[in-house]
Amino acid sequence: MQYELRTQVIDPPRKTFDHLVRRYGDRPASRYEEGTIDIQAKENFHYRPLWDPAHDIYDEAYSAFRLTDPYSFTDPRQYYYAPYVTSRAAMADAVAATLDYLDSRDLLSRLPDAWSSVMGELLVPLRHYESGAQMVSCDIARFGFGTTITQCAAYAAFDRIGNAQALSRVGIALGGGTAELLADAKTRWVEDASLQGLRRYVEELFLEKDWGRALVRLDVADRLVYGLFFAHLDDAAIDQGAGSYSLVAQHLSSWFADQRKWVEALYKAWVTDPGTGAANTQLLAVTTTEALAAALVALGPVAARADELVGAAAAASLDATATTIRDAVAALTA
Amino acid sequence: MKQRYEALTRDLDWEPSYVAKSDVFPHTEFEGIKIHDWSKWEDPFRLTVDAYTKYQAEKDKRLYAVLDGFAQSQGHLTLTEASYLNAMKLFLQGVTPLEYQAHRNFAYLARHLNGPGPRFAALCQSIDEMRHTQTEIHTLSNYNKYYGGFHNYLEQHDRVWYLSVPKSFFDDALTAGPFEFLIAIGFSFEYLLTNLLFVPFMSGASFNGDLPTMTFGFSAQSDESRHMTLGLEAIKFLLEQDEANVPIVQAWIDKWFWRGYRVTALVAQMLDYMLPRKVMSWKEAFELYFEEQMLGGLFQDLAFYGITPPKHVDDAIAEKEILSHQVYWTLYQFSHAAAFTTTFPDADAQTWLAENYPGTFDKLYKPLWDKEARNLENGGRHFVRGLPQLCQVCQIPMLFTEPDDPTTLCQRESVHNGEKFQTCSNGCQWIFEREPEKYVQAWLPVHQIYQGNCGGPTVPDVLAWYGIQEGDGGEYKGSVDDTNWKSWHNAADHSHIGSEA
Amino acid sequence: MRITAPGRLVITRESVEERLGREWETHEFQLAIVSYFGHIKEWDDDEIVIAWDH
Ligand SMILES: [Fe+2]
Ligand SMILES: [Fe+2]
Ligand SMILES: [Zn+2]
Repeated sequence: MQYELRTQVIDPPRKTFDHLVRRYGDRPASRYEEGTIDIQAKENFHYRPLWDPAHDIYDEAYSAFRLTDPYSFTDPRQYYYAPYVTSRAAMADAVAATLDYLDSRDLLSRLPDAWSSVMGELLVPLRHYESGAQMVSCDIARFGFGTTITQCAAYAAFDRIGNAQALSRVGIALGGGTAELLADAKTRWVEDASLQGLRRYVEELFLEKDWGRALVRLDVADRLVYGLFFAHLDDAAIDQGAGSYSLVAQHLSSWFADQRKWVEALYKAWVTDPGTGAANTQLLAVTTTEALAAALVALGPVAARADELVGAAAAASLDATATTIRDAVAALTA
Repeated sequence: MKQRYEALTRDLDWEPSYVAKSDVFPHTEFEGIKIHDWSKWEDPFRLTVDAYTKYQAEKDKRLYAVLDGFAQSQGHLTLTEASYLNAMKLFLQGVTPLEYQAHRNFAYLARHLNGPGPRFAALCQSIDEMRHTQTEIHTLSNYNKYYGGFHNYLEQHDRVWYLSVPKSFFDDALTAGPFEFLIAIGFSFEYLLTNLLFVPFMSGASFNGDLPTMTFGFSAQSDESRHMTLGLEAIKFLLEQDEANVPIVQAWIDKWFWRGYRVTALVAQMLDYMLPRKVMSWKEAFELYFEEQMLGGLFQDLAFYGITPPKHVDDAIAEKEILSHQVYWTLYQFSHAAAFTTTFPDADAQTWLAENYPGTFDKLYKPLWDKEARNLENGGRHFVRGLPQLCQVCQIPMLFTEPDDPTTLCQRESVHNGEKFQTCSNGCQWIFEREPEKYVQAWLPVHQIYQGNCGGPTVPDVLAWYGIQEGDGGEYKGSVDDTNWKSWHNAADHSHIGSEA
Repeated sequence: MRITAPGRLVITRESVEERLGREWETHEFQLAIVSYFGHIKEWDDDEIVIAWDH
């Protein structure tokens, strides 16, 4: 049967689910909140993992970083699955449009040789860095504590594969439509002296069992990598008449701006937590400082090679980013 | 497409040289599975990130448009009856949290499997399962505003006795190694049993006017086809990599078939008793989706690898005509302690049951309902006040009967470290005795109540701890939902604008 | 709607395009399927093959 309801208004007895009412009061909840808050199981886990009987399935002890209430952190972008994929579909469209344009005007083959080398030798091999970042992000998505955090990490992991694929596409385009340059880039990732520090950094990061520390260590390297390739070299490319480098770089730089929104928000939640804030601050400062030292060692040769190729003061830019990070750490502990 | 996909996805991997590979992938050796060549993993879908986001965004756009339209037009009033929503309460409380568990553990596979091909497939599935979690919540959120039983589903999944059945099932999978998880969830859950676990809820929705759930279900199923492929690819890959993998995989199939099959007991009673408008009987679904498609089809194909049908499958076949009746009869008597309601099957329902279960209903179960009819006449609807004993493995109350005798309760006992443990069936006993150290850890709701860990010693204490409110459970007739449903329909304009859909 | 075929089932881009009267990518198949049974052997730009390969 179907009924037509003319003007009847039914007052719904409930606005949302109990756990949201307990947390936010009796008000309607957003789709982000309904789909995210308190979703991770909280208690009465039946068995311990065979591969780690010391922990529960979800266990805050997987990291030294703690939040008194894990849901004090929420994603400033309010991404649940639907808005997330919608935003990424648009990003992918934009990347495709750029690549089509580069292709149709044959712009990549018209790059100055030195810039062509920057792309082939340094930029395209970063697809492996992105792939490593995916694995690290997946560890955070599994072992992180609280759905607001792990959801961001899971989407970030997927983004990383997207970035790797976008860089691969650049490699294919640069290689005149073949995968040759990708094979070449892999050899470089494994063998080139200038890339070994970065590869080592990623491999060592795979062994980090504390997801919070892993997140910070990845973020520190990201800030240096993205600062160098997609901000500094982007500018330099425009100055030196390599506009197509910049056309590619804009997409990764806007992705990174989006990525850092949730990471910064998480840092803020960590350091301002009324119960655990002091310990988190200390931990964040130490971890960042250690990671920065290691990341600078890893990226120094990359910047040096870029400078050899295009003389763009890349090494100086790396130092400038490092100073920004150090200042942020100093502000934390001040 | 294949080459492009391989270039984009596969070659991302490299051999680590600054750290040991076994430290990078520390979980893929202890289960005894041998993999010689990870590149042999085939991913027939060859979906890249741009194609994935494009199609998924399109699917969600369509789905949320339906949800919004339904909510705005008070679509809930066009359901067959409010009692239909009991199936959806069970779904939100029992299944949605499992989607989320799958999300988390496919992220684990996307990190811890050694090959980039399976890692990427697992990553896609991980975020798909997040999609299912959220679209299910968003689909059912609208019903929660008007009907009981939905409002505290998350806490209840962690606490309530009948929900420890699905929870312990998935906890079991998450605490296993990555390969066992692949067989448990990727293969057994997503391929072998999906048409008995997931699809019946969606068919029930389509037969009972629940357009949002139906739309959600179809939309999710298009992801499931990828998940089924991953599950099948996983099993083929493990079997082809090394002959020594075959007996390990076989034992996992044996375990996870029975483990998953026991969870479907909740689905069986839903199909036969909870839907106002029936789709098909449990027996028919079991015969079509399991006996015909899986035993008659899939296992014929798997025989090539030396895989045989699951152990204890004959016990499952033997109980296909009694399962749903036994389970519903138990839930009927315990629903005062549940977040769904039950009711006496009326004359039409009993006729349908007799027609669909000619060998068992009239003989074995009708007499129970006849007796209950007399109770009802005397104003004494029957509820059991005690607490049932639960199976140590599947955690269902010990209500099942001997495989060859539907009148004798089946009770198996095992001793571990001098302590006795009860299981409900040969299948559960076999699972227990294979890994007793695991199953002795189980958080059994009834034990926990006796130990005072569930809010207090009395039934009202426990129900308060479950967050169960007036109208969530017990008898449907005269319940809050029933009363509201009637008053909303009386207030509505009853001019028919269409006949039965 | 349910389609079954003994042993092997092939969906080609060409035949779908012919029937739809528009361009069709094989990936779009995912928007249309609800469930399937069998083994997806091939999925490329031109066709989808469901069959066992042994
Ligand atoms: Fe799912
Ligand atoms: Fe799935
Ligand atoms: Zn059992």
